[in-house]
Amino acid sequence: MKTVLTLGASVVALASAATIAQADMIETIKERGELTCGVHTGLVGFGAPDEAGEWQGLDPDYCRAIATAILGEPKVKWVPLSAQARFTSLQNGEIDVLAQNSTMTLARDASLGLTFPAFNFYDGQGLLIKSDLGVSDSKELDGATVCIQQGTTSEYVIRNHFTDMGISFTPVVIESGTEFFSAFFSGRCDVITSDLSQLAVVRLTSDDPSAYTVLPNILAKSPLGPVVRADDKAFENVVKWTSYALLTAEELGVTQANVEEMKASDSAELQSFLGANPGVGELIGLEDDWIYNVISTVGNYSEIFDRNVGKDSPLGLERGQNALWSDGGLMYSPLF
Amino acid sequence: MNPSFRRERMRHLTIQVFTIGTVVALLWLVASMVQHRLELMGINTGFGFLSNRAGYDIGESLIPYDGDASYGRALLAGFSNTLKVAVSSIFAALALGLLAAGAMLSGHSTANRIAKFYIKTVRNTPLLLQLFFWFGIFTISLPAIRDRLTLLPGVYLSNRGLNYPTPDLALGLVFLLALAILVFTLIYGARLRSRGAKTRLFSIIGWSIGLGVVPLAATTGIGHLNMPEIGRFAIKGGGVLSPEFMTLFIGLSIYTGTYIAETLRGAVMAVASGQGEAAAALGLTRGQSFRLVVLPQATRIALPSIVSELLNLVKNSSLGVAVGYPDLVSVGNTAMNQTGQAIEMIAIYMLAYVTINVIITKCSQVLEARYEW
Repeated sequence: MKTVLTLGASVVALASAATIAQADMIETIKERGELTCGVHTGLVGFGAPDEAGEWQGLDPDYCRAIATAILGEPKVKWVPLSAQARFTSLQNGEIDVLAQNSTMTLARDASLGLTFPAFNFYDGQGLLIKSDLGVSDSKELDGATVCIQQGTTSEYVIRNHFTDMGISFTPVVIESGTEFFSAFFSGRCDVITSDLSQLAVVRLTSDDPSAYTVLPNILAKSPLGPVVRADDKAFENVVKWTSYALLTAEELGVTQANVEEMKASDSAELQSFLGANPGVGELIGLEDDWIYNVISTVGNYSEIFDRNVGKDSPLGLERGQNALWSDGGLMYSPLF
Repeated sequence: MNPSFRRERMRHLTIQVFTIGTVVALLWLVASMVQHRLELMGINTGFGFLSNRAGYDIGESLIPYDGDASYGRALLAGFSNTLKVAVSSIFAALALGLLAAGAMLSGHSTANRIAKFYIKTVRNTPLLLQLFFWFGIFTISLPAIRDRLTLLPGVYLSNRGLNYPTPDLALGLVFLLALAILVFTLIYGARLRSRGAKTRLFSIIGWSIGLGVVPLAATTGIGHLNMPEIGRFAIKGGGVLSPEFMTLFIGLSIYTGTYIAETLRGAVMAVASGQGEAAAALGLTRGQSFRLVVLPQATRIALPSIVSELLNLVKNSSLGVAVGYPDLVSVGNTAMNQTGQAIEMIAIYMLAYVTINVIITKCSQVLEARYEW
């Protein structure tokens, strides 16, 4: 009933969203003095509250970067959202930007009135299974019970994967993130399916990581990134170029530590990138030193990655396809 | 017709037309505003998506369904699950309520204490919490398939649910036949008895045929049972009550049972004590007095509140989303997520629940009319 009520309220809000949707988002955020950001309810590395109740992770750092680009400081109001509720919350204006491990798909981009300005993590959908079942490939899973989180692309991806192989499965679809994981650990299902990064987190944060195996099958690509409403081009540009700025900073070797001296360097490229020379802000309605502010607050992409999910974090994920294009990865930024 | 009466009717008619007209106009206004906004925001509208391919699977369904069917079919499958859990819980809740109310009114102190403990603990905690509790019991506490509990031959309890054998078509028909014979024996026997006839022989014959049909069919090999068989991952064959269904069924029945018990107890207490005393004075036994004098009056008092508890039960079944039961709301939420058509889906939910509840209300009105005097 609660869900119905929330959704009902969302519908009412949607109906009265006229004023929110047409307002100038950048101005609205400046007036309000903070960015409202929809984040995961708790996924270590990608968005989970720390002891102080501040959200930490790759996605929250993107929110901080966007807030800093607009406000000059990382003032963010966190709104934790379930996979099911996230897009409705964004549609009805409850949040300004959604940074919650969201996979871009045609339907979401084209029919929800939303848009995905950038990618911050290239992921894939995989399967996590108990090691003692002795399964090494998804082909052997005929008849298995699979737990799926509601509101994610995995609901139809998993069906396609199993029907393509001609084997059957029983789905258990669960909305709440915590119940979803506990259903797997309690043995209600043999397999859970989700993004590989998420499975890695779940496995590592379990009591005994060696008791669980991530199968080698990659069921689908899963490009993740922040999402905004499609009706404010200027704000969409800010999100898109903030994301590119983080990548370009890594390319140029600009880090949180050296951003000060880089700004004072002789390189004309660095000077205009970091706002020592005017131009970089005006075109998207921001101050000229917005990139400087962003990097000095959250660091560049590699710093964000390493700190939250990479080598400096308990998860220790490889950069893999999330490396820069110049290192053989997929992260590629247009020119500033 | 009397002119003043006609004027009165005219006045009522005008008021009604005006009221309904205003409501319809308002609804239309809101709908067109919403439609306009959604178009501006680039969000799809309309019910056309219902015939598109759904593309996702549903764990259990009373009607045949697979992922290649349409969204409309998926919603029907979800609705069938809502009906399944709602109807079965209604009967269980009524039985539990009756039992607990009986225990409290019986004057037996142990029964009284147990019933009071049940009502106090269950009624004072949130339903969602109780559902999580039962879900934990069914998934964490029960053993895996390999270490399943065998309750009866072919009846297994594990963290995958309760598996049981199901009869095939022939045996199913035999079961139905047996049931029909037993029901006939009971009803026709009662009727004969009320006319003063001796029914002992009739009953013996009826019961022995009714109870004998099934073993007879089984030994002659007419019908077979589909026995559950243990596979590597799942128990195949036979029927299964999933842990999600049992969670919701048990959670809803136990929760609503407390309210029904209290309503029934209150209703019996509300019948003036003079009624029972008068019945005793007329020479009725305690049982007769309860059955013929107190209960009909208590039922009349209790009916409206019990019906509203049952309506709540139906609506609460949508909490199944939290424990992964594929009811209408769960299935619909997935459809909503894939198509983005929240308003249409909410409208469908409302229509579905209103329909079930209008039917329940109608039934209760028929019942209430029977208790009028």
